[in-house]
Amino acid sequence: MILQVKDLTVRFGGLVAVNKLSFDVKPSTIHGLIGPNGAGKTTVFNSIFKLVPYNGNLIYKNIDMGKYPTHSLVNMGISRTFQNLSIFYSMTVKENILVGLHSKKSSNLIKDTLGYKINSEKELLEVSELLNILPYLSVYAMFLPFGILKMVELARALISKPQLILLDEPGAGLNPAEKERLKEIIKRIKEMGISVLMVEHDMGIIMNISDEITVMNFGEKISAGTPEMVIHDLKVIEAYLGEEIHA
Amino acid sequence: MKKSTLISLLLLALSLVLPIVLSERPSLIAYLNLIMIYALSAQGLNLLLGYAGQVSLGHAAFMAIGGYTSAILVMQFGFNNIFSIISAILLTGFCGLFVGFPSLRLSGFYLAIATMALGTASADIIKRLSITGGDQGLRNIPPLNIFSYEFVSEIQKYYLLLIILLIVFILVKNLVNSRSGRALRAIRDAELTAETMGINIAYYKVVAFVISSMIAGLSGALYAHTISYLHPVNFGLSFSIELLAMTIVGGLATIWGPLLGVLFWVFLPRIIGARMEFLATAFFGIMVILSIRFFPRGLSEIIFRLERKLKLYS
Ligand SMILES: Nc1ncnc2c1ncn2[C@@H]1O[C@H](COP(=O)(O)OP(=O)(O)O)[C@@H](O)[C@H]1O
Ligand SMILES: [Mg+2]
Repeated sequence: MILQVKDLTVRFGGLVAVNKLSFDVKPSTIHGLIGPNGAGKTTVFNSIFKLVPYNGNLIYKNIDMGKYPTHSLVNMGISRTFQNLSIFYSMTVKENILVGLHSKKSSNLIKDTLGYKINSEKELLEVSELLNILPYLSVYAMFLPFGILKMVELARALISKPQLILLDEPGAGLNPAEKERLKEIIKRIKEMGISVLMVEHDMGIIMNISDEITVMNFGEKISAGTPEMVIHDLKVIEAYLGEEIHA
Repeated sequence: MKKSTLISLLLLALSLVLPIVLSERPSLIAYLNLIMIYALSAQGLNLLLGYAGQVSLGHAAFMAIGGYTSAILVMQFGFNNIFSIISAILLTGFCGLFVGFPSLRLSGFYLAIATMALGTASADIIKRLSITGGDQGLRNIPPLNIFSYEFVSEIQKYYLLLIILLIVFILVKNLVNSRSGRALRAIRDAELTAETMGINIAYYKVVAFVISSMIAGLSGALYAHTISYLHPVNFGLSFSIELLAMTIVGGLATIWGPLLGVLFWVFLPRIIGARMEFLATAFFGIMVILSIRFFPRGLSEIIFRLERKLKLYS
């Protein structure tokens, strides 16, 4: 297992946002995490990244992540994107992406001050080609449209060559053509041997590319299995009542 | 040759001949020297506020610590001038470390208050000590003496300060464009995201404080040996605020902003004239507000626009 979530519980005051949640992410698979709004999906991501206090165990490649600080995760091989686009707006696309490589390259303050350059062109080109953002590398992020910035965010998470990537609604806000391309990109990411844990509301995307799905409602796991299994699960249909499911 | 390189060379040539043109008016050169010293401090503040997004209202105190350290080491302990300046830089860096740690828990307004308290406290301590000359100030500080070469005249000081200014500005430029500089800017733009992407926030925040203080310390040491007189009253809260204002007006997170801001601040009252000096203060205040509200790049905005025009026509 690349990631094991065991009895994860997160409380915000009286609210139990995640309740005794357990599931495993297998290596080199796409694992979908779905559920209605407020189910606690983003909170699971935030627990993995130590952004919220939690109970239970998060085990990455047999290492309990309990004692690792947020900033050490990229170096361990985990990276993520955010549900609400989180971009460094005053920086160029290139600089934004290179931040993702921060903990994979070393430099020191003296070398940096003396102007020694780190060569990251190869990684940069590779990931920019994959995500189709090569023409924008020198453009300041604040001047670019949402769809492209979503790809920049993905590039920033990918450039460190993670073993596990967490995608929080990568398709949100994209148009149908962009969503089609996104599907292909996520499949490519899997082919590269990267395990994907993905939250996504667009059932067209999630049912199409996931190998396995965990369904949450009110912080609890209500169903799990292959896409075909969960889509026919009555509990899932009930939870989504009023929302549309289409495979 | 690129146009921007050409312009840089022209500016460099201009700054090299300027003191020769002004050689009949050493008082004007003295002004330029003061401007370069302040511009160094402002650059330190720019690194902290502009690039790392942290405020300090104690930078005048860092200058004072640097100035007194170098002056006292030379005058009382017979230090070589180069070692006295290096000691001054190291000591201010150390003080920056002390301010840097509380900065991890404080932000914005609270950080401003905390640094202000530290600044005021150091000015008070300097006033009470005897080794600093107390309330009398420290007089007759010897001029810079590097490898037995004394920088006595304003012109001599000018060229030395120009070289130091260029070196520091180039080093800061390197830093902000490096991996570390990107980390600083990422923290400024979106702290949690930066941390998630693998940046050790605490380390870089403290580093920003330390380097910024070291630059202020260097500036203070140069001030001491250039002006040859130090008094705690010159490094109080009001000067910290003025430094901040100069940095903002010049343009935060721009390399030439600090110099432009200081030039403006020093020369504006002279242009307006002594009798109407209050107008200069008011005008400067308005500039600060305009910069914060409408032109975050301050006076450097002018340079950016010129640059863009040049690119269009080249
Ligand atoms: N930092 C927080 N503080 C308090 N409540 C939070 C916080 N983050 C999330 N919540 C609450 O926890 C619940 C789950 O939120 P979230 O994980 O964002 O849901 P999802 O991503 O599944 O839509 C929601 O009720 C939300 O309001
Ligand atoms: Mg969410």
